[in-house]
Amino acid sequence: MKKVIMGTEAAALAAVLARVQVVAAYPITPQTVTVEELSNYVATGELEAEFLSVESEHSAMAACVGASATGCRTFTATSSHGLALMHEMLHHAAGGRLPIVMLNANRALSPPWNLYCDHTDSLSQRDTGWIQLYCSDVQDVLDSILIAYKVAEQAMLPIMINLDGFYLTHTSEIVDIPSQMEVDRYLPAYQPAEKVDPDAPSTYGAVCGADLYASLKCRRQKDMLAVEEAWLEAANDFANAFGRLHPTVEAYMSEDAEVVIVTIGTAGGAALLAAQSLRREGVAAGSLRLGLIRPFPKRSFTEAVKGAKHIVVLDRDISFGAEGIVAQEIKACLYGRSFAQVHGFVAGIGGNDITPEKLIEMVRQALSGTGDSVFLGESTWVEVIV
Amino acid sequence: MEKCKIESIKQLPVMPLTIEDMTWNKTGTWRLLTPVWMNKIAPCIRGCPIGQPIPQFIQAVLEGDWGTALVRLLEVNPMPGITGRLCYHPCQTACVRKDLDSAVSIKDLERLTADKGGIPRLTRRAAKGRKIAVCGSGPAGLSAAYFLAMKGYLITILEPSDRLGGFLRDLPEGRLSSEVLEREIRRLISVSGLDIETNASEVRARKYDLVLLDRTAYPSESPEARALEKFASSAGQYLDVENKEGGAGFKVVQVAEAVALGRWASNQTEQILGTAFTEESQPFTALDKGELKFSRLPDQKTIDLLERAKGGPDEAAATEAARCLSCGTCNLCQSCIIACPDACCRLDEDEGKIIIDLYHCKGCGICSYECPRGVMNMEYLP
Repeated sequence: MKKVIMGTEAAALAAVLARVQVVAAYPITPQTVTVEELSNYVATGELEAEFLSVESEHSAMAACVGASATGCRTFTATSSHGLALMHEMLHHAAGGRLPIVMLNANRALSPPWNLYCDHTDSLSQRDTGWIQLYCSDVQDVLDSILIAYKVAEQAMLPIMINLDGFYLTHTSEIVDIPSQMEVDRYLPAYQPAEKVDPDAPSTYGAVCGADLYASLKCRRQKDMLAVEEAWLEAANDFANAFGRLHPTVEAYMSEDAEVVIVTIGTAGGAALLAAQSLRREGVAAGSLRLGLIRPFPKRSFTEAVKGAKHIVVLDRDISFGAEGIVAQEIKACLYGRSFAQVHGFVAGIGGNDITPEKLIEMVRQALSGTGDSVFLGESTWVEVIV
Repeated sequence: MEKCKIESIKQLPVMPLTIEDMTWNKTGTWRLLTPVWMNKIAPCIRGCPIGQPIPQFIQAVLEGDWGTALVRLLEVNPMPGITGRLCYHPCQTACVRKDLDSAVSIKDLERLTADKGGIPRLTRRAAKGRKIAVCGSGPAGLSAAYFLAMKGYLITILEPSDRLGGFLRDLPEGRLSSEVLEREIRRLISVSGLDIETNASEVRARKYDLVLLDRTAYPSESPEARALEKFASSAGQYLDVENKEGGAGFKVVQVAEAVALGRWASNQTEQILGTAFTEESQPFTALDKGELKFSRLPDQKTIDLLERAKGGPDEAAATEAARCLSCGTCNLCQSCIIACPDACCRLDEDEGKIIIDLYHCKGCGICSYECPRGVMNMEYLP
């Protein structure tokens, strides 16, 4: 069935189709519609789940941690400051090996106060141990949440599904909604190997000495690294069932490209159009959208950009005192593996639109070394007054 | 504790949870304050001259268990059908609910319990082989006789007239019908197993270890009152139920007080005969209203029980009973069990109480904070 819905509505619908059993969430712009929709689905009985109204995002995630530990399929949604408030509990969810799936609507952090798209909120939670995925369009939101449960429950790790605030949360698009029967076939009920069991009491997250602590972390890293392949496998299964592929990286004409524009989130569409325009002008351009950023899809990424001489990275975020976070990730990935030059651009933070024209301008500035954008540290800032 | 030997990470579950019994870790040693499950005397109980366990009997009404509800009352009051009609209900004046909407109709629930509870079986204490005569059968005399019989004494009520009840007989039919009075007295006799001698003219004092006299049974100057005075002179030594000097400390102005007086006299008798049970003294402390938390009205459990009662014949009673907040009285709502982060609170279904695992309780106090009825105390027990 096809319907015109917003990204936030698609996320709620995906949670319903995944038959989540517990939802604990606190509303925040621009995620609110998801929470409203889920609350409504539970109230009308369309979703048989426990809906917990909590007093903060910290409690929302704490409730999800508890629920997930009892073996329930658990969903929550947040944004920006809410995500920041969850920080401690994000570690708890990942360290507890709990396959929670969470929507995060990417929004700028204040002050100054701003409600619009910015990736610093989720990227500053990179090291909490959550799998992080960035969606390109509304269909991607719905499909990715279904794939996410499959991957999360296999890896026993939580997944954060990121949606560009307003650009994706509030954009209505035509979405192909799979039937419940099809989804049930793809995503059976969660069967945890371990869960809280009153008949076999255990302490969860008990004190652990240095000997085992390091070993347990090492195993978590091993399991996290395996997620790139696990995602590809689950995405392939999904493509076989529903005819839509959601790979870890979405590359466009990158095989023979000299310059590849790398983005995360909704800017991927603009990057694709920019690459097409540049090709028409005679520039061998390609584009690449990173779906996963944790774990970093090292294999898919290096394979996709192996011929590139220039990599133009769009960062809708900034790590103060260093540079854009995605650019750092790419440099770390390519170090010793490629001689490509990485050009980091900080643009579209706090809601500025990313158009194909702006991206073409960035590519020109990267290749020529001249342009209107401001070079600062390792990054070039677009549309700023200095 | 012997350290676990881990050869491979695969021996450990993916979730970071303990793989062996952790009860060796006696976290109770970390505790400073100790939770103490202790029922308090609710304001209504304190208001009641008889001290009836009001939250307890109402809880049984809520569960549709009229028999248990009546047993709770008969343990302290031999004639709830009479007090349930005549009492001016100081319990309701003290009801906490009064400050929220209106007091629970305790008196009506008491009357209903007496009317619906039948004749339950109460356990009497083992026979002591001591014989006591109770002269006069007003509510105080009946009450003294009843409690002493329940305590294992052989009781004979000596009544100068041909019927039991004393001044209760003279009440207008509209206030207390003779039918109800007969029924209440019949039950009192049946439950306690005491003997009756109506139309008695004297006391053969030698037959008894002690003689009690109920002067409150009849108005002074009545023929029955004069007959009782004859009993007094034929008995020689006797204990006056009213015992004006150093007595129960209150004047009998109504039936509930007469019942209370009878119970007090029964305790006095035991003291005199040296056969008192010390376990009677209740370790409860009185409840301070400040200890109660009513932010979560109405209580979840209450709603559930009310739902169950819906449509049944006792719906109105259950609806009224559901309004009782069970102040200071554990109604096994199990909030503490749900709230305890260390799973240290446990329900003892047989005893109907909450047991705390003090080997592992860290004394965090969440149970006490959560308890909506002020039952769980946090105490410093060195």
